[in-house]
Amino acid sequence: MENENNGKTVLVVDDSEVMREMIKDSLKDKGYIIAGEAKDGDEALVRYKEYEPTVVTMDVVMPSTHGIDAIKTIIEHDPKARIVVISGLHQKSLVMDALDAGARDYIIKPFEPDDLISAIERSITG
Amino acid sequence: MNEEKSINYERIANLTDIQKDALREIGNIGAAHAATALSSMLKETIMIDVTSSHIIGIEDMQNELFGDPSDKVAGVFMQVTGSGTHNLLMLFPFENTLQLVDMFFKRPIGTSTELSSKDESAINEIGNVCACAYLNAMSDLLGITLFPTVPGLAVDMLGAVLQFPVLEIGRRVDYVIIIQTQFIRNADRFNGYFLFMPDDDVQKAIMDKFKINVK
Repeated sequence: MENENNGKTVLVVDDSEVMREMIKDSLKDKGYIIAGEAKDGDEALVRYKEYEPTVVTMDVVMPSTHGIDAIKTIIEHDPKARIVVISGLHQKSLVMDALDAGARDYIIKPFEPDDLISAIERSITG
Repeated sequence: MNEEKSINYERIANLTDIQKDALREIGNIGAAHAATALSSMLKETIMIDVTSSHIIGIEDMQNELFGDPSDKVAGVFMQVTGSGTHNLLMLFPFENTLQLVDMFFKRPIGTSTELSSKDESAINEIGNVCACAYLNAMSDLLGITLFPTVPGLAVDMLGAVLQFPVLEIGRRVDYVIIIQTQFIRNADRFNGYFLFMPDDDVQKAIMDKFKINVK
């Protein structure tokens, strides 16, 4: 697809296969390139180093390393990493933990595709 | 029955009507939020009808649910930490589980007769989103942080799915709040059960919220 998002890549991190598919479909519809995906926080760091994506979407509740710790390790590796959290949890303390760890935005599952795209764009331009 | 369980049953019996009402009300609020999340996820208007809510000893769960331990069900289980430890189990009769995944993937209702691995991922995520909505509602109401573990899906006979809560959680938690709901979509109704097993700290937070003294 020819649009302004060509060349922008996204790493999708979520332990749920069906949720990864939903996120990828929403992004591809807007011209983003899926750099890769990861099923947990440990794999997220490995894939981040491998793909160096423009943006990461990050689930919170995942096996082994959960999303907030994964944000910390990615930011430690690359302080300029753009990470958007996508979680069913929106309790204030957890949102603050994610933002304090370095996430640039936080959206709630279930999400509207437009909300995801807006958050991705904010993370890039903000 | 061991001494610990005798004490637990005594505690249930000692709950006052207003304490039981407070526990049920928390369950009802959480279930309503879960229905809203389900509507959003399925892109369908899903209404919810709480058909019953009651508090029973954890060992009586099976009798209070479908009745027949050989009934096939899908269960999404989470342990929740943050302020105390408690447990949440969402149960759907298997027939309703098939309807849910048909709705999720925009297939005509009745298409599915078994669950594929992708269907299982979908029902696990549906359970996850509903459970998170439930926990968010409780967190807002009680002013406590509730962080769930990764949800686990079991598709099996009711008796098998309930075995873990009864054997493991029953050591720490004495009663379960069962919220029986009907999700309503147009003329279709399907059953779902929220089983909420709060530990002492969460029970105290609930009672504090409703300004109920605990002896």
